[in-house]
Amino acid sequence: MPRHDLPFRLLLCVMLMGCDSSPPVLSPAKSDWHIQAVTSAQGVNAWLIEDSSLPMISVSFMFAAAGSVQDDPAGLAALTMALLDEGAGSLDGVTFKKKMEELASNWSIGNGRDTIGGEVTMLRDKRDETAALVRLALTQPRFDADAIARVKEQFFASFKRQQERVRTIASKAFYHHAFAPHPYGAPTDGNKDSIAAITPAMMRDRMAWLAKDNLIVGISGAINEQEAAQLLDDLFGDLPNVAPSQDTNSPPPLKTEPIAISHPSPQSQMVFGIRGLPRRHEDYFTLSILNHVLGGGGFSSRLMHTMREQRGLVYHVGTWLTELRAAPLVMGSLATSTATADDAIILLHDQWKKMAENGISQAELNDGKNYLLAALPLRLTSRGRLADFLVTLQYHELGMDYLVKRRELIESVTLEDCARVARNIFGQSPLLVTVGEDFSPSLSREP
Amino acid sequence: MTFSSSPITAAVFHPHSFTLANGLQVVVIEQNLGDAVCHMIWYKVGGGDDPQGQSGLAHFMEHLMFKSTDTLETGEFSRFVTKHGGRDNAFTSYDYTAYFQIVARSELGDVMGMEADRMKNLRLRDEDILTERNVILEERKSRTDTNPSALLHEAAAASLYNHHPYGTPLIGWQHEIARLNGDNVADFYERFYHPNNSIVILSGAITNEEARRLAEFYYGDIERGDVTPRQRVTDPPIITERTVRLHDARVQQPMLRYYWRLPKHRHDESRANDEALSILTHYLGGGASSRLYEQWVVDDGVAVSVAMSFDSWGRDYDDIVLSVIPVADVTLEELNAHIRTQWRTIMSETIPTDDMERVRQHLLAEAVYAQDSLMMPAYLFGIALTTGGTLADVEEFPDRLNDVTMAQLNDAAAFLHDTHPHVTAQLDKPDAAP
Repeated sequence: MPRHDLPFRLLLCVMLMGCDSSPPVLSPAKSDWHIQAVTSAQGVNAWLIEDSSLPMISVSFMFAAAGSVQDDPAGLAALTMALLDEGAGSLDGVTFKKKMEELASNWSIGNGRDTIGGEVTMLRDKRDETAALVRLALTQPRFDADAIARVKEQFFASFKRQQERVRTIASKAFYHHAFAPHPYGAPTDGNKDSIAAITPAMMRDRMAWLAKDNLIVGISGAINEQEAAQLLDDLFGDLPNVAPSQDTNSPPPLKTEPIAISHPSPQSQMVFGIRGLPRRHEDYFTLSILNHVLGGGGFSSRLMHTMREQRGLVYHVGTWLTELRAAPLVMGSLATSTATADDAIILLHDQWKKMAENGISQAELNDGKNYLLAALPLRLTSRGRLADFLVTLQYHELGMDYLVKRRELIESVTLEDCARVARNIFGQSPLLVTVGEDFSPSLSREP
Repeated sequence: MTFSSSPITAAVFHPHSFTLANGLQVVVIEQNLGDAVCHMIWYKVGGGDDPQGQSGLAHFMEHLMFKSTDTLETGEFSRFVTKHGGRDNAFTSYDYTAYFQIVARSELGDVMGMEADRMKNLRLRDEDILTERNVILEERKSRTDTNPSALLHEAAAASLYNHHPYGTPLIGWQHEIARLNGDNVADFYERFYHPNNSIVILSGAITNEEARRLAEFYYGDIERGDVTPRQRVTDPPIITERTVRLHDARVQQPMLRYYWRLPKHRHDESRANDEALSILTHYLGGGASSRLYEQWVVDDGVAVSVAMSFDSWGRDYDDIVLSVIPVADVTLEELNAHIRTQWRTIMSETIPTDDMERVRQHLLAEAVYAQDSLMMPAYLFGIALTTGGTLADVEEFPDRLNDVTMAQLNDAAAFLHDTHPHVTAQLDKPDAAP
């Protein structure tokens, strides 16, 4: 019998497919990528997923602990990174960018609070020339006076445009009130005064953070192990071996005094948040599920359901996990008309309280687990995203077998875990920042 | 397919296509990007088909498609997709309304069943309509009313097209959204939501044969409907100089924009001009290596940024838009005068062959990078097929780029040389009024 089992089922399958009355169902396709570790002659490490079905290569890279948390003055990393391709080696900025375009390659580099990150996308047969250009930017930026003046003007213009958008105003205010004077409280791109104060010498010093020992690389595309090792040296081999020391103090707990910022706007924009859990915490996936149920799950979340679907108060409301190394957060935002701002705050607090007191239901837990398990492979649908994923795995030290371990961790989450974590995390009062026409947010209702 | 070296040649995505007996067209793009499938349905109707006085109706219809049907509760479709790790959403333009889900192969059948269901069995209940109308009024505030540059664009488009519907905001004017009702929506749904007015596009881990079986099963039984061809008015030629200024207390950073409007040439020999315009606008204002950036930002120091784009994705007209942001000590009037003084000289320059080839290679590579995406191919075919184009138009894009000659590029430059911007738009602070 066992010998006939498989062919029989296949036959049945084909028959069902051909039959008009039964819905056809497709079987899963196997994801066939696997991860290789690569080390170059000059000691640069990377993880690689080889796939030659398109003639292109994506490289994602990150310098750990090098983000704006190390900035003095604020915005130093952002300005420095913006100047890397504004003149490097013998090339001025326009020539550099023309050469990159001639190769039809794309590259970018920028910073968050914790890290500096970048990516390079290139056609397979333009690999060496692209790497040589990127290496030039990473190791021989010129910081010419005219380029600095020009890019500073661009930063100033960007700051002005940010002040026109309530979402940006609210977000920047949230980080300021949550963390200042800790460096997490400063904007990742600085401010007018701090950018104006930056000198070429400061930027040259800041480049020390681009080193081999805090570099993390993911590669995906039409490149084999030997070629990848060569590419790593071509891109990063000339970097210094060691970055400056890397300690970030953990900031104190978030303040919970509500902040209201007056701004002429027909809508009130709110940004809110509490301290969350680090990526490798044993309750991280429990919190991920709770976040999904509360406000992370697109159209299906509790906040979307109560505020948008039932009452039409908002176009968008959502929550997410912000993975700051020294102060991970659960954050959220919504926008609603000034007249309904109070109603929205009451609903938000009700949902917050409900989560803290009652956690989630068995059905919500099951759906949340299904979501987390199925969503990750559905997101890894391009070389660029795979390369980013390889960087994430290494940055959080999750291991090459992460997909297997992750499944076990998610499946082991219980309702009791959810209740406990909901109490601990959502038992905190959020810091709420509101930007809009004058009104006093009624925050007497503490969860 | 192998690419040894440039030039990159035609046939980018190798789509399959077939049409069901009820008129529904299906396009399949087989891709090797894991287990994920993108399912989209594109209706050949958009904001350009909103009846007079009912601006925003096509977009309102899009929102209401997420409400209940005879067999599905409100939100049930989205919950199914989310529960299985996928995501779903929709988007409306002037010429199309599209709905999509990204799911694993094993969920595709259920998703197609639910999409087919809401093509015919939507329940338009008054309470849902009122609630959703408020959502859209909030959406309009988030997108437009809180954003001075979006308000300026709305005014500029209304000047660029003062008769054709591309001049009316897609999301609708606030006072007209507030009056949209259930009858408006029901009429619109009856008129346009039919299999013979739609295209299903599948990309990712699916074969043409699998797609055919699934499409027949889930969409094959829906009856075709009466679809009257879209009637669009034509704008008269622009003979006036049009300037719109928005002076808003919220503005911190002044900005200058120029708009040109081009009639569509989908089916004659001058179609190649589209690619010439793509190359030209990228050469002139596509980022920090462009001619105008080098002139105004680097050499003259009058601007902090320059961006020029050619949008050929409309059914009836194409746009060229040039945005320039002045440095702090240059006013918009001064910047405008500077640009106009130099304009004809720059537009009559001989374009260096090296620059033309550099831009061409860059645009050709985009065709390779677009294949490294689940949604991009489906998106490109959807736009082409709902705006008067064909599958071949997308597939032959690299060929047409390769075919662009210096003479065509010069023709395109001559258009910009000879044609005063159809609309000039200025965003500024209140105290900067001239």
